[in-house]
Amino acid sequence: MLNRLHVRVAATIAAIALLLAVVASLVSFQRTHARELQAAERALLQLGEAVRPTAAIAAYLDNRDIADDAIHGLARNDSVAGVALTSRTGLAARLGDAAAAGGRAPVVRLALASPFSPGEVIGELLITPRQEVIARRARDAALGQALALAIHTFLVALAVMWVVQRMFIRPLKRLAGDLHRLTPGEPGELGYPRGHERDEIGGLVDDTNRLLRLVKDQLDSERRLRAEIETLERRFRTIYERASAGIFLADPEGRLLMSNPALCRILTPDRPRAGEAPASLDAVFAEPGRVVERIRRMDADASLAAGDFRLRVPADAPQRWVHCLLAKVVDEDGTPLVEGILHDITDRKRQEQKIRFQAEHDPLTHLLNRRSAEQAVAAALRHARESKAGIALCLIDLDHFKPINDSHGHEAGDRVLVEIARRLRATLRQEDIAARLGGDEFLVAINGVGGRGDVESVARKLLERLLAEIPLSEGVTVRVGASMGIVLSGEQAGDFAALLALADAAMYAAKAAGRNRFHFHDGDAAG
Amino acid sequence: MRRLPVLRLIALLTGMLAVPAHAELVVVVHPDNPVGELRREQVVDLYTGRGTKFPAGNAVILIDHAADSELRAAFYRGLVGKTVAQINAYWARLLFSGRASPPIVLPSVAAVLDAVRKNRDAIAYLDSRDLDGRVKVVFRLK
Repeated sequence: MLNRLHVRVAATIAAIALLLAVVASLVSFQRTHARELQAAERALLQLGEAVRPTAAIAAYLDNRDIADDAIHGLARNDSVAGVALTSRTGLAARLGDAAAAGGRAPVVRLALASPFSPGEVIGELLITPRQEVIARRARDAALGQALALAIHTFLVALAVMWVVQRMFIRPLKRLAGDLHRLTPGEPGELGYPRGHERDEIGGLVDDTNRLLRLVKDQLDSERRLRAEIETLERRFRTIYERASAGIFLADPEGRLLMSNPALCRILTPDRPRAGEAPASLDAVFAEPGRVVERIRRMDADASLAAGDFRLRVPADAPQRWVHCLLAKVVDEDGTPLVEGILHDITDRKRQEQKIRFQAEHDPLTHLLNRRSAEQAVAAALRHARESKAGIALCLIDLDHFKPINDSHGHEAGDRVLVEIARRLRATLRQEDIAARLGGDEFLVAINGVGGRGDVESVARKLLERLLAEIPLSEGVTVRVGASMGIVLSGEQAGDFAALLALADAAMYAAKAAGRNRFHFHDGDAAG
Repeated sequence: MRRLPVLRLIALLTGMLAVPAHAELVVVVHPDNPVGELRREQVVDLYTGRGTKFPAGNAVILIDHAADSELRAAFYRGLVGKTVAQINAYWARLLFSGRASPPIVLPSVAAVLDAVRKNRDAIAYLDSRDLDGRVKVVFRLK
């Protein structure tokens, strides 16, 4: 109730009017009361003055008749309680409730002078006022005055209330109601309250309408903009979600801030739905260090980089590859981020590897072919020279192979060659090199050789395994012989060709010495 | 009051001029009256009705001059400082009370003198020039 404007205004005015009426009435009452009391005393004095000459004569003559005449006249006044007239010479006339001179009740006292010698006081006239009458009259007058003032104040307050109600509250209430019914952004305007077209309320209407129009324009353009943005967003989302390329956004620490479904599909192609979004580059790449390195290097030169990286796959799964486009982006806060777009290139990579393997390996035994053996050995030699270690080149020529080919057929020959290759690989370490130079001629390069002792044991082991029986089919086995020529890079300078020639020479020397043995290049025989 | 004010003025002026002609106003009684000298207050009391007896106890018979007499005006002016009209008003008030009796007014100085000579209790006032040996002066108004 009190939050209604007109009620509040009315209550405030009423409260102020009440307060004013009370204060004004109180003040008026006090003043009027005092004034009335004074007036009553003055009236008594005047009454006394009127009979004073007669009273003086009565006192002069000590004449009771004249005295009675005078005091009777006074006592007839209803505001007089009693009168006393006394003279120095003994007259004492009293009437009514006459207070004695010097009594406690307020008394109007008039000195009586001799009519024939002014200044000579011969008596006294005492008028006792009728207090209750005077007080009642004063109170009545004061009350009347106060009441009149209160009514006046009340009427003025009523008038003010009416004016405020009519000139301010009513138009404002109407405006407030109209404004409440309006919805911002919808068409509609406020009308002027009648009679207020040109004053401040009219100005308020104008300003409010301007504001409403502004809000409507703003909302309209915002709606339009939002629709455009929604369309755009939908398209972008489609691109992002349906893209075949994996897309991610990573921060400088390698955490993935965002990744699209395609990235999950690339990571787990067999479970396209179950894949959880990866949390970091570590979860995407098998060698995240390389990616980070690539990104760091990109900082220096360009903002775009590309590379092929291995994906992180379970230990038992085949390796998979992606081509990754990396781009530096900066987000709204100024934080540098890295955006990556991945394409699965595993198939291409496998094709490539297959072609390279075919180019570098003997198709039958899958050992290195002559050309790639030459490259591998050259690289090993370079490495050996740098690390001051030696390598041993060991040229192996099979004996009695041709008869097997002739009597058991080419297939059997091939099977023998594959078995020989398997035995070579099985005997050698991973870092050693095994190659088929052609026909029944093999080359083995042993890395990290200190002296002949190291080589001899390996050569002996090789020879022993090569000479073991080779099963061809059920119940059929064959044997081959082998002659080995060994040259050590630590003892002989020269490139691959030179070393190979020395090994070849040593091999022939072994063959000449009776086969199934190995010779070092300086003719030292062993095995 | 039918006389012209000018004449009244003349009369007043002649009256005032006449004052030096009066040696003084004197209050007189019958020669046999036992009263000796009277004080001014006693004269005032007698002529305002306050006193009605001589100090010896005999009642007073107050004698006054005619209402328009210059002597009367001079007497009251000299004695109590009042006009004749004021004195008349005073007496009128006194009369209504019924207790006092105002002075007996006699038309001429001769009548006044005659009345004093004939009444033992009479008292009157005169211009001292009108005195003869047959009345006794008890107060001189200065």
